[in-house]
Amino acid sequence: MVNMVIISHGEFCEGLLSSLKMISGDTYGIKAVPLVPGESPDSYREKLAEVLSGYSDQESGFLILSDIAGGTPFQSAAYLSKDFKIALISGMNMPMLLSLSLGKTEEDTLDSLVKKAISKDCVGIQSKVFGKGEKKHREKLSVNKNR
Amino acid sequence: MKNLVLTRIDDRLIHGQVMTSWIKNKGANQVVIVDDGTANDQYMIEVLEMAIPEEIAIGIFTKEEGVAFFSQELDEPTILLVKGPDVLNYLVDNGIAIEEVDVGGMGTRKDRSVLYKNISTSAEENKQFKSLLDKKVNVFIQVMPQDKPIGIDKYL
Repeated sequence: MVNMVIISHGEFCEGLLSSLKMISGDTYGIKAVPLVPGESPDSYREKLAEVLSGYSDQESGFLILSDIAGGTPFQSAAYLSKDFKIALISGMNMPMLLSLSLGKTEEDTLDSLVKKAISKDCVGIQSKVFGKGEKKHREKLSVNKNR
Repeated sequence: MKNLVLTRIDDRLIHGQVMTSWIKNKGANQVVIVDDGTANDQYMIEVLEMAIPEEIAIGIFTKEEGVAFFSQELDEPTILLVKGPDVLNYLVDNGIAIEEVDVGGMGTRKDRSVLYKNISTSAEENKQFKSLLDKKVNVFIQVMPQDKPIGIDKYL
């Protein structure tokens, strides 16, 4: 089964993981690897490589979610694709992590998971502007349909 | 030298949005990295190319190639990026006119201790900085364009 690792500048990834546990009750073997303030890219890359090496199933590869494209965590993961089978996604968020961790199956491959991750449903951003005191105008059904 | 709009030490080299904001701030359209390790690591070069806006030209050179490159006039506004002060001493010693150096990122490492906020240096790197100051190069710490530059001399 594809392994999942989440990475970020500072504690964001650890926070996401603990929120995942709060919502779903499990962390599904996902590991969070934060870049701590002041840490050099070399030492972070080593730390990340060590975490990846710790997984028993190397063959299925790693889906790595990162906070922003181009930063040190992202670059380190991209570099490690030299030695590991990696798919890398930036702009991770809670709905994405939640749908991926809950929806991942034995049959999923790196390709299928990446497709899933960036689908509109998975990214899960919705918006509505609420006017102050605004009421919803939903059609109400009554018990007696003829009234 | 003309068109050298920023000389910066950052051990993260090209670093996503930080670098993008410097490029905008300085109006640069090319970035030159002088670092032997990176210049000899084709895989790292590809990763760095992913991290920089596409309209920016990029050159990744060894120290010797760096001297050759900056010995010619710069046609375009250029940012020079290095990982540490030693390379800059090498360039200056080889006749490249660098008037000022921005220290933007030097992370913690076993041989480094904190110099100022999140800038860490080793004893050897401090010596290299002093040597730059001796050559009348203005060295200051400034992580982002909106930060106030802080002279490094009083922290060495």
